[in-house]
Amino acid sequence: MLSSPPKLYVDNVCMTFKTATGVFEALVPVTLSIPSGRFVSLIGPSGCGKSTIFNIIAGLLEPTAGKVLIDGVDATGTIGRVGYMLQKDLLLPWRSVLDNVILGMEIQGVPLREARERALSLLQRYGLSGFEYLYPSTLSGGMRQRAALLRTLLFDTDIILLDEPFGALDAQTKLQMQEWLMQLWSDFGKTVLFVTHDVEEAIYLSDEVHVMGTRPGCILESILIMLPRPRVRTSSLTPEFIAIKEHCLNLLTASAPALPEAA
Amino acid sequence: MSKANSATLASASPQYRNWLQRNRRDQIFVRVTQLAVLLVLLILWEVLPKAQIINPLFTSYPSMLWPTFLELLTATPQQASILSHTLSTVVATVIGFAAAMVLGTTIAATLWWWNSLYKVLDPYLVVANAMPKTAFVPIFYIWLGATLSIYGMSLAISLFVTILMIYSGFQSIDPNKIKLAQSFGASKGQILRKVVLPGSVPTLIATLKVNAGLSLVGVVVGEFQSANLGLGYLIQYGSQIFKMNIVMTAVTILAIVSSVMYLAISWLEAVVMRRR
Amino acid sequence: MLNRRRVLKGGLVALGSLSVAPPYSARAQLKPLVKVRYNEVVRSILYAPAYVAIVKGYFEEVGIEQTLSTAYGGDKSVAALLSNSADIALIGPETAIYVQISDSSTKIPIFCGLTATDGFMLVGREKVSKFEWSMLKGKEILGFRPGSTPLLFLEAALRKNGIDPQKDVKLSNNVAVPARLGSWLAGQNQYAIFIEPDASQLELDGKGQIVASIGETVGFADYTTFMATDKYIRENPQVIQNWTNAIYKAQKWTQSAPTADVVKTLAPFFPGVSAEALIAATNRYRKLKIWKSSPAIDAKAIEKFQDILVEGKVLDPAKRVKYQDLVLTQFANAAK
Repeated sequence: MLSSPPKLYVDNVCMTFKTATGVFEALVPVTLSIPSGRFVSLIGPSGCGKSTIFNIIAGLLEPTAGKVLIDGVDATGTIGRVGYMLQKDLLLPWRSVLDNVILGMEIQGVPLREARERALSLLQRYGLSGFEYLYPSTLSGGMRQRAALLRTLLFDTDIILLDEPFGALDAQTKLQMQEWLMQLWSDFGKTVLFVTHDVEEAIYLSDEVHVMGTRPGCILESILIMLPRPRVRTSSLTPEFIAIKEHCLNLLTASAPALPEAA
Repeated sequence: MSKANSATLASASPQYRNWLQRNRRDQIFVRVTQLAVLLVLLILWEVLPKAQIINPLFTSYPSMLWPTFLELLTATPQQASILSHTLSTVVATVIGFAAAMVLGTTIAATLWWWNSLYKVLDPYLVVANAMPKTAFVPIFYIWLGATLSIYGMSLAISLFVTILMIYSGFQSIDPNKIKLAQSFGASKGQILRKVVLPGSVPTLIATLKVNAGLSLVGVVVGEFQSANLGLGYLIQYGSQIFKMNIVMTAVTILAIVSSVMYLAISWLEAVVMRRR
Repeated sequence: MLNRRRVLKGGLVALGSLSVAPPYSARAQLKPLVKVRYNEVVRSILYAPAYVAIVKGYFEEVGIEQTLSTAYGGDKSVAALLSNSADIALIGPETAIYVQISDSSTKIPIFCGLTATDGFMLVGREKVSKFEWSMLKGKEILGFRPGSTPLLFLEAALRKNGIDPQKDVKLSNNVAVPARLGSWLAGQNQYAIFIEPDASQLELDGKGQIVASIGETVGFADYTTFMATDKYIRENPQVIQNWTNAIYKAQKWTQSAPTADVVKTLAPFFPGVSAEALIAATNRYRKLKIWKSSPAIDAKAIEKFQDILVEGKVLDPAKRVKYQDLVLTQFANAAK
């Protein structure tokens, strides 16, 4: 395990924003080492820089200092190496569900017929069969997030960044989507970086949780989650789970004035 | 409405049936009142000049509209039928606003592509838009000659509004959608083609509505000054020889033309927006 | 005793001075001036006698105070008369004819003439030593707005010289009036009609040569006339008569005065026109007898005018107007 480099290595990345009104230090040196196939969560209060880290990893933002290494190779500032799903589904309303999920492939130049074939089988396997030719406006919130996630998956990168994908969903749908995501992750074995406000969600889904502090953004503590896989709902009631949750909440309360909306 | 409702009516509760009937009655009432307003206007237009309360020299009568139209089908100045005049005006209008749409969208896309160019050109565009193009009619004649000046007017009057509206539409695309495309490694051209342009279709339709009206105005005003064919020309000519019936007929046809154009664009809008 | 004589002397002197005092009865007869709102269809040298009457105070002499406004269009002048924003207007007779045949209950009869015929000049681009009308065949001529009298008279002049206006020449009738001069200077068309002083100015600048007078070619057909609503004439016959008298006086003066004097009188109404152009225009119009010498309009002129309208297809021959309905002759006949 130690001989091959981690799938994703964020090496002492910091970010300072210069604006007309002053200099804003968003991230002090942040280091993350994520092995291949792991499910890792970042939790923290608003403004702790979670989205900034994602933008840097995705190559949309150049860090003020530090590097991003994928498979040991410097990938700082390169776009298209990771799949990036933002909180809003951002499905293009003028395209059918099918044509939406192939967007990433289309931009990469994959021929349309091949892209659609690949997409169709995925859509059918993961609960969107019957919706392929419908338009996003006819879908519920949960279905739209599924479509958006499948779009990210179809982009076919090893690493996937998910920025609060379930934040806008109601509690019931959120739980369903978590199970669905687990299934997807176990089927495809991607390396997932997951951002959320929901401490319970983070613990439930992940192998490792990084708790972040704010102003400036930094990693307060990294916690390994040793709960058995596949995870079951009742595991959230076990004493181990509750202990981890309590620990996280303490870290968060100490570092920020307002608690994140925990589960 | 009727098919679905007659199905439900059979099994509907009496309260629902009452509500449906009242609904339909309201709609009928609105339609009847609309027709009544039109009728009253037509009657006033006919009666007041006949009774010499208004000088008929200035207004003509609605009863003259149809006979004048028939007369003009065969004998107008320039020996062209009134349909040819109408066609001339319509063609100039359509070409004008179509050209404005194409050229305006291209320029807006260029400005979107090179933001620095936009920053430099912005004040000029705003001034050009604010200037009344109708003031340029005599100048266009000297620069472009008779026929081209009308097309020139038709284009110029819509062009700057188009550029500004469409550019503004481009800018109001959800920046997250653009970020999404960027995260997939999209080039600027791909972003323009796959996200910005399709996302701007509502703006394009709104601009089209504005343009159609403006171009018609531009053409008619241009024809007042420098045409020998067209509805604006007929209005000018009729007023010159005190045949107000010709003027009113031409104006009525203009009203019909602009309504048809607007309906056509609304239909296009419905088709395009069906999916969104 | 001395006191009584002094009082008597003083009284006699007082009585005597009374007889030398201005006659009060005469002063009481000086009525306030009648205000007349006068509207001219365009500003043109063609209407010289009218400007003469204004400058030389002939209107004041007959008790009229006029305010001049220029309408820039026959239909606008007529609208001013009919909507009662003008009292007397100077317009082409075609407007009176159109109103006469319309359904309007108010008519605008003519009571006084001013110009005997068309004042436009045919201008050519290339210099010719002797102009023949046949030279126009196949050429492009800058005309005037369709339905307007300048164009109708031009077409009549062409027809009179054996040229079919639709087939033998190409008439450009779609140039906006303010753009006509610019269009000519920009090199469009080989011939054009221009009114004075534009025609003379073009010739002086070497930009064209006046080859013919449209009015001379067509003959006498009153081109511009004074008119008012029948209601106004009915209610103010004395004003109408006074107006006609003032115009008559101005017409007589214009006929015989030296050119320099005429030009001096016109100059304030035509700022921006060179003195040479005004001189050339004045001489030309006088030679062509375009400025009438009396306000009378005769029936033959009106019939010829209607002929031109009918030929130009703007007047239905069945709708021709009777001379006595159109022209009120009593005022011109009584003019002094």
